[in-house]
Amino acid sequence: MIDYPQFSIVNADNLSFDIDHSVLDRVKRKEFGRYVGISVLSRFEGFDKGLLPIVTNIKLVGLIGENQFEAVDSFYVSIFQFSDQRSILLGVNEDSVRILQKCHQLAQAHAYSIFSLLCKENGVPQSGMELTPEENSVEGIEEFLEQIALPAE
Amino acid sequence: MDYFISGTVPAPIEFNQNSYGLYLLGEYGESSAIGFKSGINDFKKGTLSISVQIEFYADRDGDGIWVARGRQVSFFEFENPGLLKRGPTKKAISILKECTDLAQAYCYANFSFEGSRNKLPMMPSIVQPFIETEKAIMDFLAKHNELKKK
Repeated sequence: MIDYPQFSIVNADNLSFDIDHSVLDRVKRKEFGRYVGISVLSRFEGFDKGLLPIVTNIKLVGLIGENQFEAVDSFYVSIFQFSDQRSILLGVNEDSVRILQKCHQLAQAHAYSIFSLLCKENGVPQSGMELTPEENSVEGIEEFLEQIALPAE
Repeated sequence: MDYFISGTVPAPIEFNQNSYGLYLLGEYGESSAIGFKSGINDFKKGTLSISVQIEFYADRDGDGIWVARGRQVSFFEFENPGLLKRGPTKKAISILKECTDLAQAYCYANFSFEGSRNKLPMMPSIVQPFIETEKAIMDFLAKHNELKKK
């Protein structure tokens, strides 16, 4: 199954976008060589009244050895609405994991798109993005599903 | 991963000069809707490009009238382009569906964000059902099928 009738997407927005100009100048001077890229991290922010908000943090970082320098630090929120809440309230199963993986992936896509636009508007170089490998996102998803699961009858 | 997202580029939002002003004045009905159109453009040197158009409609006496339109082109880079050149395999179909879903999410987010700067309300969206993108995906895979050419 590659369809997702369980939820709709009701919001995608930017929360903050902070630039450290001294680091950005170093990125533009290519001081980090090819060790410049974005880090993307998302977090589930609970589940209430059928609404699932996901907050995503995107940073543009340069690396020198083990030291990380942040040129941009930005946050985004996506909100998903579930018509049938039971699809994710019954704990960890194949379907609930698959659905939350999709929400997680879409939230990161929303964030990346707005990030790219804000970079363009603020003279920050564009960056590509890797998808989070599924096996890395599953653990956080399973934990979250257990937290919000309805008590067993 | 099978591909790397090399970038996503929006075109500026277009407004329907006749209806946008009237919409802001509250001249239309309560209900409004959005619609997507997606197309897989081409696949050169391992880079897949997908374009998506999103339209915002207001309700004028039961007819949908377009108020704003957004367009976005997104690029996906394949290390192994052969993945998409062996016809409609399960793997190829699921990759193309995922890329189309992402391209739509990029388009939706940009349109919502730019739209809210221009006083358009947030509109709910859905992940387009497979059946709506199936033809574009199957046509693409048939066109690029190298096994058949031999």
